[in-house]
Amino acid sequence: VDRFETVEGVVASLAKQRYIATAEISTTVFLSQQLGKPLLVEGPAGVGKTELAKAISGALQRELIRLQCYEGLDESKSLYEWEYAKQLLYTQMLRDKLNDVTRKARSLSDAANKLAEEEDVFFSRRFLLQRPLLRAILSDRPTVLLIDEIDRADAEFEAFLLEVLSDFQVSVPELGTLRAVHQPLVVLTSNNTRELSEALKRRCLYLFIGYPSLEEELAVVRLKVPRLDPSLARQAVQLVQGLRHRDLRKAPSLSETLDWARALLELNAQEIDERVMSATLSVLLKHEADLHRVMPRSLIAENPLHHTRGGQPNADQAEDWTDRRG
Amino acid sequence: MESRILGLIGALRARGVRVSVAESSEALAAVQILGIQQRDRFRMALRATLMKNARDAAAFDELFELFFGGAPARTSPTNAWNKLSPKEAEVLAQLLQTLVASHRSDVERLLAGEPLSEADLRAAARAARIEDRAADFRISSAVQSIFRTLRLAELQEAMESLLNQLARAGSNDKSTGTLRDTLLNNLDSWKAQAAAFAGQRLRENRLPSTSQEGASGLLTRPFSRLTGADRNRVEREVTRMAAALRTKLALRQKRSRRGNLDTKGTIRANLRNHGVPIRLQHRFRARKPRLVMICDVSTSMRYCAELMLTLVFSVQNMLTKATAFAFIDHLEEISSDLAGVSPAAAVTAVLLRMPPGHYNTDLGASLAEFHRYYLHTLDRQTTLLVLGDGRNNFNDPKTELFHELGKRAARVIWLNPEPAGNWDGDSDMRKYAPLCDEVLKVASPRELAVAVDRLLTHSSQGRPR
Repeated sequence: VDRFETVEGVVASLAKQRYIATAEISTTVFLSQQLGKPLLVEGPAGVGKTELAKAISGALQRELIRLQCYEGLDESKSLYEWEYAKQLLYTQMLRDKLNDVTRKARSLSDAANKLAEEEDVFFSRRFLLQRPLLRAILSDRPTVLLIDEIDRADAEFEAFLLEVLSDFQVSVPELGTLRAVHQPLVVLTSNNTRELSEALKRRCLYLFIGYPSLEEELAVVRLKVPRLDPSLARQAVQLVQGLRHRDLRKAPSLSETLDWARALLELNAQEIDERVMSATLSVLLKHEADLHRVMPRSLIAENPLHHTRGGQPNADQAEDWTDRRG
Repeated sequence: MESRILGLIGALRARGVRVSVAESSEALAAVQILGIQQRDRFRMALRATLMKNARDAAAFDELFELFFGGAPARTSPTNAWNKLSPKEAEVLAQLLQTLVASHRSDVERLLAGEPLSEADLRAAARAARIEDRAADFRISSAVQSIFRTLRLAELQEAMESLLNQLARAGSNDKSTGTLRDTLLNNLDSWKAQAAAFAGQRLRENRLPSTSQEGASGLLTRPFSRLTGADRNRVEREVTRMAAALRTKLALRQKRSRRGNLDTKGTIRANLRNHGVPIRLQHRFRARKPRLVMICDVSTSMRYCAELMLTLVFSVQNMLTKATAFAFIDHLEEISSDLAGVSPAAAVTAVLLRMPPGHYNTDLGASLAEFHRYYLHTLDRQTTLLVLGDGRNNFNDPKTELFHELGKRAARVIWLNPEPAGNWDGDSDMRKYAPLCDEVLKVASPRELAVAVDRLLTHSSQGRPR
């Protein structure tokens, strides 16, 4: 399949890539393809934004070209650069040939003119170092272009990106305008660390992926860590969901849940008790302050499933729940 | 359908969500692709194209409900009299006379199964003031409000007591039951009618033509005329302005060719050219200003102060250091409050710390306090910024202290919402103004942004000493 035919098709083929797409995700992905618009995906870290792009590329069997953004990223790192060293090397090696060209020249300007005629040799695609954006444009097969964490790049880069994303063409002064053979399917991700410009947002379709609901998260855990005992998986997911309501510096995300589930599996844990909890809590919480704040014992006591299994739900539990929401 | 979608777009704009023409046409294209049969998909088609910000989600969802919410099932009212035996009808007619006159006619209409007339609905909507409040009205509260003006709850009570009396008068359970069902059904149909009417009214009133002025008008409106309802929108616009300011400053800094040649940077940048310096690198001379702000946060100035703090702290990376103080009758350091919270929240926190009771603006005393405790924050690189109307309630202005502060600082700038012509009465502005390097009038958010921009660009040039 080269294209998604229906919204249901998106769900099915993403599922084959082991990506569970909600109705919202699949509909927006489908629209993005149909309208030929870049897809801007926002949401907290670790909810599967990058994973979505990978799944799309897998589902469509298109190459994934990834541009990781960072502060100071500029055109030479994202679009193209002349390969100076290679040009130099060629000049050295072709010295004799060059001498042939200039030997017959009568004057200096004549020699320069002769050299200029051959200029194309040195400014040809051969010496053009293609960076991700140009690669996506020039690729002779359709690709998926992932522009990851666009919020980390400067506002200037964003403006430059606008130009590329609106026409899918690039002008290289020495070569002329290079037009896209196939318009790539573009996915931009942002962790929302800064507000993106309105202009960029206007050119994109918008998709917000938040933390998954309990059932959604459980489904992902079952899919990705199938060997984990179902009741243990449920218990774990419930615990993580509870953690997200707490006042933490970094709430555990879906990726942390999966890491934890794998850790539980590796440790061959039968149930989530205090010992397992204190051994693995650092998988879920990545800030020291958070680790100090959350006591493993209180976490287990809070987990509603644990109580029902123990068969003695008590009054504290109800209080804990209200605490957490407040 | 198209006009409904355009209506939604208009309403979104009225709510302050920016929707461009291109986005609206895209929304229509998206709807064409996904169709309108499945409501959820239809919703997502609109959402992905029209809403580009997670914080607009609530506004979008509410307006979508309003424009495309499933209409409540309309049950047509039926006549209740037909279902009664002649004797029962007679008893009921008698009982009706015992009701309060205002309720009686309504209950009679419910019994007869009459729908609400257009005039009734209009009157109720007018009494509930739906039109006036359309801008910030949620559909549920509009419906509740219209129910209240129609006194539907009282009507239901009146009906219940009527039915109880009927039962006591010897009517059998079965016929009271049917009567109750019919009456409740009729009441429900009134409710549905009222809700539909309220929804329609809100939709009409959310069209941009009848709604609020655009963002630009809001930004030039004086602070004194900004109401609580504008607050969120102004804050949003100010955040946008701050982002623009930040980009502008960053570009200005980057493009500045006035810096010294950066030898190391040039060598590094030209390594790939065999060290031939084709591209020169300049080092930007640190012209980032240090800023000390003293803000009047008394009731009249508070809003202006919050917005200024928002602006200044959003461009904080353009500053070496920004220290903020708030005063009413005495001075408080608020920089620490501003860490990680919005300026509005920080100012609220400061106001809580200030002693309760009536506030008496006393700039003189606040200056004395600043002079005593915080003089070290001023040095020759620092710009002193005072935000206030200079109305000192006839307290001692302590101009000599202000003069001394000015001598220590690189520059003194005063932002005052009042034009020079109004500096009379208890205003000490005429005494302070000669001691300032600049006095800028900031009466609206736009003027504030200009002032902050000016502050950051001209800060390096200290005054000749």
